[in-house]
Amino acid sequence: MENNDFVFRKSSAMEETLVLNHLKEMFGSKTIQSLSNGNLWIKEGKIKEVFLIPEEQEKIILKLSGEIYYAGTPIGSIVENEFQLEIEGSSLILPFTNNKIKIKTSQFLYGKHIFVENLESYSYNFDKGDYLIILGKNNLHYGIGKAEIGAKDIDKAKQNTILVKGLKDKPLDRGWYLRRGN
Amino acid sequence: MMHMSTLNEATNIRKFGKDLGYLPYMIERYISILGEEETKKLLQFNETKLPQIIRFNSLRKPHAETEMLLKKKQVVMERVKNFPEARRVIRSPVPIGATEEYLNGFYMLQGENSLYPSSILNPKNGELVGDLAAAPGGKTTHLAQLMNNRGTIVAIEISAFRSRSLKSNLARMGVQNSIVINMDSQNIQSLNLEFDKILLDAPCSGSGTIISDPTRKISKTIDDLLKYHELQVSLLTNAINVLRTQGEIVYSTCSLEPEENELVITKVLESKDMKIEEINIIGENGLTKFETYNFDSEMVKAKRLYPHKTCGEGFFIVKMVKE
Ligand SMILES: C[S@@+](CC[C@H](N)C(=O)[O-])C[C@H]1O[C@@H](n2cnc3c(N)ncnc32)[C@H](O)[C@@H]1O
Repeated sequence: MENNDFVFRKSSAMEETLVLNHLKEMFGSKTIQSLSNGNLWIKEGKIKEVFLIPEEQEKIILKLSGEIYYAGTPIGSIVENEFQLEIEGSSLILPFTNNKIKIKTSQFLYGKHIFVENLESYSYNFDKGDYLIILGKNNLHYGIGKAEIGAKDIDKAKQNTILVKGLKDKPLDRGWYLRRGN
Repeated sequence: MMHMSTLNEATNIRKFGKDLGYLPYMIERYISILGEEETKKLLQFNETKLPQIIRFNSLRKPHAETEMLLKKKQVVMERVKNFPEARRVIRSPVPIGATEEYLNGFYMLQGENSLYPSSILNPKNGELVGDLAAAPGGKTTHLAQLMNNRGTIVAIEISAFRSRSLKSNLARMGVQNSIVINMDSQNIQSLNLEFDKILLDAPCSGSGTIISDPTRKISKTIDDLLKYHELQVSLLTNAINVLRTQGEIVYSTCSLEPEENELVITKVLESKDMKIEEINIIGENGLTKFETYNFDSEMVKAKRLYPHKTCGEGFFIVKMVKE
């Protein structure tokens, strides 16, 4: 067995605040509701992975002596004291936020950039640096990314201007499950 | 004395098996279990390709909606008998294991016969279920779907490498009620849990999956089968130790070898009070003897799913209740 140097534990009050503040500030206060059916746990290894664990499973975890590798829903990670919402976390908050854009192409699923001309529609006036949930054809969830330019600048932007950077090595787009999962 | 034509037939099949690259002992035992005609059919079937089966995932989307989305992509599917949640893919212009719908966990690629073990275990909302050999999670995600994400699945996997694909499938499929532990299930007692139900989809030699892995024709000797047997007996014995009285366990393998199936159950029944339950599915009854082995007479209640007879991967499945 490799990779046994991790700890699976309940989140501290500080970590919980970090996650909740991130959601509130970046995606609106309603998104907190998406966490209502469980508690946050941390798997501490090279990075801190954050899991949302329903109380039913939590009761069992508290009894277990073995090392837990995964439980509930992985929602994101904490790196250098910053929380990053990831694939499943962004899917969870989807019904509670307006930070969404819809794109016409699927290259984001290959970890590639989204360019301004790939944008089909957006539901709120995002600024540069805002987090956006990316939807594709038939409103299917693609993942999450950060706006490289604000909505107000889109019309003026030249072709090939990056709207959202694709990050192949991070679990931010659903293509991750094929790139890394199998 | 063997009839001349039968003798010739057996010689022909041995040659056929040799030409196809099988170790000779495998052909001998298939002839002894199935007879010549059926062995030939099995060998022929193993040279074909299995249809792709998908299982719709109601944890993510109602079946009808997923079906509609795939139809929009010109995917042609047909229903699979006994499994309303599954479809056989007849034609697809897109790689079915890489669509946006797949990445969203709307369905799982899963062999038809491998849908049986979780269904037979029939876990209910609120139960504590153990899945003691879980990666890559085809059956774990199926269990979660049957439980409607309620109750708890403790999914155990010894390989850290394979645990990654388990984790990926659980996340993709929207499973929320699993706890994955990376450990040897032979030590399951150390967890101090008492399970309502257990699935032991045991590590095995995989002779039922030659159709998708032809290297299995030569990769395992009889000695290997006996090593698997030892591990399987140990896993099953330990699993029974952590099952509550009246709790249910399904033992399955994708192997056709009696050493990994009937012999494992017979051995475990010598020391454990378990009642074998009738299961009402396709397939042939378990064996009561093979070569020099005699098995428990209750083994007829187990099921053997032969690839060529079921058009799927080979499986052995048995359900037991703890007395
Ligand atoms: C037949 S596969 C399971 C397939 C899985 N049930 C599914 O449906 O996707 C057997 C698994 O058991 C794991 N395994 C082998 N020995 C084990 C042990 N002692 N404890 C736990 N897992 C084990 C293997 O690494 C392998 O992933």
